[in-house]
Amino acid sequence: MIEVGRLCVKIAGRDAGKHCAIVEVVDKKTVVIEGSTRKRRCNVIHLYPLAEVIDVKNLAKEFETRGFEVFSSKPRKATVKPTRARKVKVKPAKATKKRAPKAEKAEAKEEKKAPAKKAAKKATKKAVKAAPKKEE
Amino acid sequence: MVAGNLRSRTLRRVHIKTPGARNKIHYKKRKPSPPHCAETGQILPGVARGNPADISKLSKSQRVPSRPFGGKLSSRAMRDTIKRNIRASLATSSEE
Repeated sequence: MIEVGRLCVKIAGRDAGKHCAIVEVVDKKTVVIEGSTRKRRCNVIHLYPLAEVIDVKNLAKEFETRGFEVFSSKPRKATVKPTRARKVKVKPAKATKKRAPKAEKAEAKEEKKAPAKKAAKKATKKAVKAAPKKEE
Repeated sequence: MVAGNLRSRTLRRVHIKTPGARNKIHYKKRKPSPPHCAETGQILPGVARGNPADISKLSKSQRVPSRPFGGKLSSRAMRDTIKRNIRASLATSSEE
């Protein structure tokens, strides 16, 4: 049953359920398999042999005629997605209020505050000076 | 006295020794039950267990075995189903 060219289905591991053919018989237990699975050594217990025996030299053709995929280590070609042209949004210009520069504002504040404070200080000083004279 | 909702055994109790050398009880969620084989009913080995939030952080290969029906069927059940499917397909092809 276990011979070169025997078509099998792998029933263990991550390749389980995939078709393969025996390429080489290593010993009673182990064989080398190839096909839809990766090319690798495999225990005979992990194979489910089928009735067919194929020509191993034309393995790819034999598999194609039966509708099975042949494993290839090359990565699949990535499909190029159509790219959309980006729409550039134009923001409407906002009507902004013009602010006075900071330096001018500070000056204006000082002018407002300063005269009142100075006047108050002067008044208190005058009062202090006048009071002790009267007592003497 | 603990709060009423903590007195039931819905949450599991974890005894924890604090840095201040006090013993405290923390209440944590229980683990979900382990996944079983859909055919044989045995507990599936090789499937990650624990809090679903923690499991979602693992990679796919760490969560379930990377074979067909991994995490659904045991390996033996999977072999049987594959054999069954092949036999069925061969029978249908021979009839045609």
